[in-house]
Amino acid sequence: MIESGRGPRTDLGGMPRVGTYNGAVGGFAALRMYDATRTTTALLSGLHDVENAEAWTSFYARYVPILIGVARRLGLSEADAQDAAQETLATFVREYRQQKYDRGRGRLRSWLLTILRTRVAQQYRARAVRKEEVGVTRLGAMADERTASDAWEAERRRAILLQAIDELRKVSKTSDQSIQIFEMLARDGRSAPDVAEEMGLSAQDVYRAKSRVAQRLREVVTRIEAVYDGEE
Amino acid sequence: MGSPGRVSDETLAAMAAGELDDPVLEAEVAKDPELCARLEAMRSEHDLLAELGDALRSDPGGGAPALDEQIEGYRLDREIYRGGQGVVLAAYQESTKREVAVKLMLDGALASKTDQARFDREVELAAQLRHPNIVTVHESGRTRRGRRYVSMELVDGVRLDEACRELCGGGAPKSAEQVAKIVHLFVPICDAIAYAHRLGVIHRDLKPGNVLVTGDGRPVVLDFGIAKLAGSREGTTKTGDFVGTLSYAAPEQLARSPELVDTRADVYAIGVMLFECLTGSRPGQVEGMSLADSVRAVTEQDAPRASGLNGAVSRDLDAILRRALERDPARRYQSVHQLRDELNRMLAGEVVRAREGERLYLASRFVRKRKAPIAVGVAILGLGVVGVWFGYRANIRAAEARGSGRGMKVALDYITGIEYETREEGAGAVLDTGDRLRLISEQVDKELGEYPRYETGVRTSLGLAFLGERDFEDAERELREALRLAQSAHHGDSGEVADALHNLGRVLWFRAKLEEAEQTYRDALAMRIRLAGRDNLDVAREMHHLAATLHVEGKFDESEALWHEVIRIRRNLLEPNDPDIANSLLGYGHLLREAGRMEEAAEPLREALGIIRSKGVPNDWRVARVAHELGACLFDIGEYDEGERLLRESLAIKKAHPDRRSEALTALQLSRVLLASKGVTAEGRGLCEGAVGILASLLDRDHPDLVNARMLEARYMLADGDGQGALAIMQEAPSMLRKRLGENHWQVGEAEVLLSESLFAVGRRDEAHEAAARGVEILAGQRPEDDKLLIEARGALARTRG
Repeated sequence: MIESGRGPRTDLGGMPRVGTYNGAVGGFAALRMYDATRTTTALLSGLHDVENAEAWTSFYARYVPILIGVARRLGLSEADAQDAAQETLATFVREYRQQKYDRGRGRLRSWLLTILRTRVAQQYRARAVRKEEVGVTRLGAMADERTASDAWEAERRRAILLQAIDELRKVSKTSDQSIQIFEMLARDGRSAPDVAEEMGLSAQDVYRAKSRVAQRLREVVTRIEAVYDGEE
Repeated sequence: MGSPGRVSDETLAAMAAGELDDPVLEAEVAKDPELCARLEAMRSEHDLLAELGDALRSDPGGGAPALDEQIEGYRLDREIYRGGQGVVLAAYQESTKREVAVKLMLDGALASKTDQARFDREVELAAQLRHPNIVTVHESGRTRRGRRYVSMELVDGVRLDEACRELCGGGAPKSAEQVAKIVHLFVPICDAIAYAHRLGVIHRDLKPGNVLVTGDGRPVVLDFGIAKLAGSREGTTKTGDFVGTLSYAAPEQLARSPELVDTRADVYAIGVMLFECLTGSRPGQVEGMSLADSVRAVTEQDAPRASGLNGAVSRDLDAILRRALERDPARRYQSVHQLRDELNRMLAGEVVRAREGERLYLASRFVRKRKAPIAVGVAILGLGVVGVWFGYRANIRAAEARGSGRGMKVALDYITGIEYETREEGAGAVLDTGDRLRLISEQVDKELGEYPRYETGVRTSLGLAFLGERDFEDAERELREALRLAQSAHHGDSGEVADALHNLGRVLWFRAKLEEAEQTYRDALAMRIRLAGRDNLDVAREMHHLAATLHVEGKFDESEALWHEVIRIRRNLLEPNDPDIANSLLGYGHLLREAGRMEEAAEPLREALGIIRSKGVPNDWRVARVAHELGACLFDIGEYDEGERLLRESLAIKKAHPDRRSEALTALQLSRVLLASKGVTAEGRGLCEGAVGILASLLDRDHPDLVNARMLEARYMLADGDGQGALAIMQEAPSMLRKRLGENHWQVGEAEVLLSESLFAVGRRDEAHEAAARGVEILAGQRPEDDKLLIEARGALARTRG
């Protein structure tokens, strides 16, 4: 897997494969429909059933982008990070089904991160063997628990935000310019007067739209946050 | 939205986005709960937006700035520090084979092209600095991903404040030796900053976190010029950080004109750091305060005495800190060099320059050692030098030195007189004075025993001298002590206790402790009546002061009754044209004006002017005062011609005196009359602009006098049809006046009316109507129906209706 470095290739033990990661469109767009409403707790109980493809898919969709992000933050390349994330989930599900994971014993997050950090360390060792160090040495030292845990929080937040904005895009009417305005402000980092001019609106309108969307976004985020329970 | 008269949504949004780094504006917002809430909402929207922007733009893991960054020629080793602007990494520079520190700026830290250009320029400047106490900057550039970085000397050290705590065994210094150790550490810091200043580089963001002390005790200053450039965004989006660095910002850095910030801002910041290292707290302790309060604390309050917080700090060091922390840069040490020389002088036990300016340096040194003043006072009596009188301190009236105070006052004037003389001769002579005083003191110790009752007089004199110096804190302390001594010397009522109460009342009045001042005057008054009955000049004097205090407190009815009584008593006992009578008439007239009874006010004011004029003193300041008050009053009741004449007379006299604020106020009043009687004239406009300029240089932005002046400016703009200009002024005026004068002050009413007219002039009729309604509501209760202002207000209300 190290030498290829492209796309998920790990054998997931007969689990269904669902979509591939595409950073350009903001993540696992095709996967999001699965996971919007079921809580992590519910997904976890669904995972016990080998036949429950939907639980697996949703779980995978929810956590693989986060794990990839964490792995990237810990210094892996894009391809290595994808591999590490998928292996981590595969390992997790295997151990979970073997009853090794116990909610009373450890939290989902730290469980996943422990597996992931082992993977990252393996990558470093592999790199060291191949003498591939470029500019970054001693990065392994940074894959400590605290760094990994901070990275998790950031990536989780990011995933939730992307999911939330995606949901807003879907539910808003085409006549509603608010989302468009919001994205111009957010993604392109443009100023309100600038956007106002392009859209033929007053700056005041832009501020209103911004605050309207921000409010809705926050509501959706809160709702999604609740769905991501059971990690602690 | 679009609320009238306040900060616009655009401005709020810019503040929320951290594009507008204006603490004064922030303070404005912080005063208004509604704006505050809006700004908070916008901040959280902006943060959400920024977060989402990052999420939409970046790859997963893209938020991590350092990990897979690569810089040509460097091997990045480990993260040392992570802050709002970026990450500092330890790195190995391959070409030089040395360990260096690499500061990677975050993408957001240098938003605009201008920021980036300034950053490059500042790095270039900083790279020219070669000094053992300044971190050496090697180079700057971009990482392979395009992020800016600066590489510099890797300093292994601890923060300055931590280093100081370590020097003192963990905590503030507990002895003179420990204080000296800390001061020793600051001398090379001053050297470094002075060196940079010579090369034209100002630090602008000195704080303990920007000075590291190495294991062998070498302080090293970091981040020259860089931190502040990139810091504006961090500053406003994270209030906590901002408030942290706010403590070290000189007041002029918090004002609106960054171009005024020069090397003296670094002097201030060094002062704050030294103060903090010595006392464990900062002079303007702003943690836990709202942003508005902290800006106010830095811009309005003098630094407390470091010695008050840590007894190990000497008065000399106190004086040095006070000078370094002067709010007005012109009164600070003019260079870091000067500050360093002072610290060296202090370490060498020499007299510090900062104390030369204290007129009572020597006198107070004597008084604080309790025995000395007794000795000195008695010495002077004993040596027969009672006749010595230096008239330069005319602000202490002889009348206030009556009784047992007189001898001591003479003594004190003698001491300060000597010091005054020797100051003229040069610095070295100050010690001679001290020696002379010590000689006198020794001689007296031999000749005379204990005379404790003189202490009351000495403290009183000192307190009044401090009052004359406008050093109210010291004055209050001395005068309280004088009162205590007087009370313990006399059981029950006595003239001396009443005098002491009166003096204390005055200082409390100056310190705006009005309630306590009122009670103190009441006690003094009651005592005087018990001692001498009602018809007594001391009683009248007490009443006069009490009436003035009640007036300021807004207790108009009782104040008026007292003015009647004062005037009655004084008329009974004094010559008809005694200036004291005029003085009380002026106070009474002023009260009537404030109460909106303009017609009635004219009479006592006319009488007061007549009395003062009868003295025939040329260029009499008192004539200027009364003529101003009467002129303003006549304007209020529409007698423009006579008003104009009086104001011109007042202005001519005031021009011959140094009080520029008072001159400006009269110029303003004259301009107001001219506008009302003759419309827009070049003279009227010139007077107004001149007055605004003077007041703006003397007063806080929201001082009612300045706001009033700007309101007249707005009237001129409205007369010219410049509604936008007028609105720019008037938007903030009502809230500023409300804060200073209270909700229902008539000036707030006037401001609302003018705001209404400004809004109307730019076509915002609905908001104009609301403002006019607020104005009418305030004015209707307190002004007669035919009052000019009330008529104007009703006019505005009618015009904006429907």
